[in-house]
Amino acid sequence: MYGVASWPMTCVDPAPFELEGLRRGDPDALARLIERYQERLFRYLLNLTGHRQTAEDLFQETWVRVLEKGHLYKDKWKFDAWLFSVARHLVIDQVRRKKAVSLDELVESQPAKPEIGAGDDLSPLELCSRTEQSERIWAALQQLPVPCREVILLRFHEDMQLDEIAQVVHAPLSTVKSRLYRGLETLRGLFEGEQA
Amino acid sequence: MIENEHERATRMISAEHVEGLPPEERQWLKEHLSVCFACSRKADALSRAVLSVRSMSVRVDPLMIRATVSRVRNRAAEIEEQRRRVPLLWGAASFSFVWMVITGALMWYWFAWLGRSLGWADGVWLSIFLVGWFFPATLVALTFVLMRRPEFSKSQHLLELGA
Repeated sequence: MYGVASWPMTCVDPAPFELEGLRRGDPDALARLIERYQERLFRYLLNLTGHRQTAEDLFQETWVRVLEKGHLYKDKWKFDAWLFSVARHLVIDQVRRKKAVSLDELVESQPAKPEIGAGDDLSPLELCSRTEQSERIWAALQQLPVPCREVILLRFHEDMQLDEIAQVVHAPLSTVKSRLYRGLETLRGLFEGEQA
Repeated sequence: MIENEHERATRMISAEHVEGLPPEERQWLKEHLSVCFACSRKADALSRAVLSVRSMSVRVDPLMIRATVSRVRNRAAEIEEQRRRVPLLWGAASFSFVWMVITGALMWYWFAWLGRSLGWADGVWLSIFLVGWFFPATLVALTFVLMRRPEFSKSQHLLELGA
């Protein structure tokens, strides 16, 4: 029933004709890109906002914005980095609309834990185990400040390079690194605590 | 402050995941972890954390995907419609401008002739020319703009409600 987003992703970069379609505002090209990037983008938004309904709204907004701004896309950019950057701007816009000042504010507005699950082709035991593991890491990630959580996800879930992450979050490389170190330090502490 | 071996190892454990380590440092870390239980536990905890992040799964509702594709198609149709209107709009504006320049000059002479024939002062026929020639068009344009505004805000509102 549900598609599942998990690492490692087998998401290949868009073909040149798809990018050409994106620039032309071709809805068929967009539909293919939505199909391909649905999990990654949704997971990014869900982890950033911490709220399924908000993430779904922003997911739609992002693709509409991609359609409207597609003519500005340049080949030298990585599509996923550009896509996440567009989504991130929309998240920030929404936070601003709610009178907040930065992404940190999102931490305070998490009304519900999102539905997390695994594929339908798994046995009940595997499904249960994966769901439990996903919920555990979700809970751990929620304890990180949003900027740290964001870079952790981009680095380890989306497998992005540091410079690509810097492009998405519009921050210097040094800031990206320090957020990663801070986030990993916290995660390590949480997992060490579980081990004890 | 001199960094002791454990602090160095802790820093490297994170660095290995963030930016990678040069071979000699990786070798040093490997040797240290093989003899230090505390640091080895830290490395293990961090590896498990990273692995968990990588294997985390999230459900994506196919209905949302269909709704998104549908919304994108609708928006693409709107944009296409707007694009189609642009040349028409420019054509109409250009024609109006040329027409106004030509007829404006003719009307100017006609008003001047009328004013002189009726013995009006220059200020009078000039005022009548301005009121009769420019103001109606300006008023129509303003009315058109004001009439369009509520429609725009209404459609935006509906869009936000997901209608």
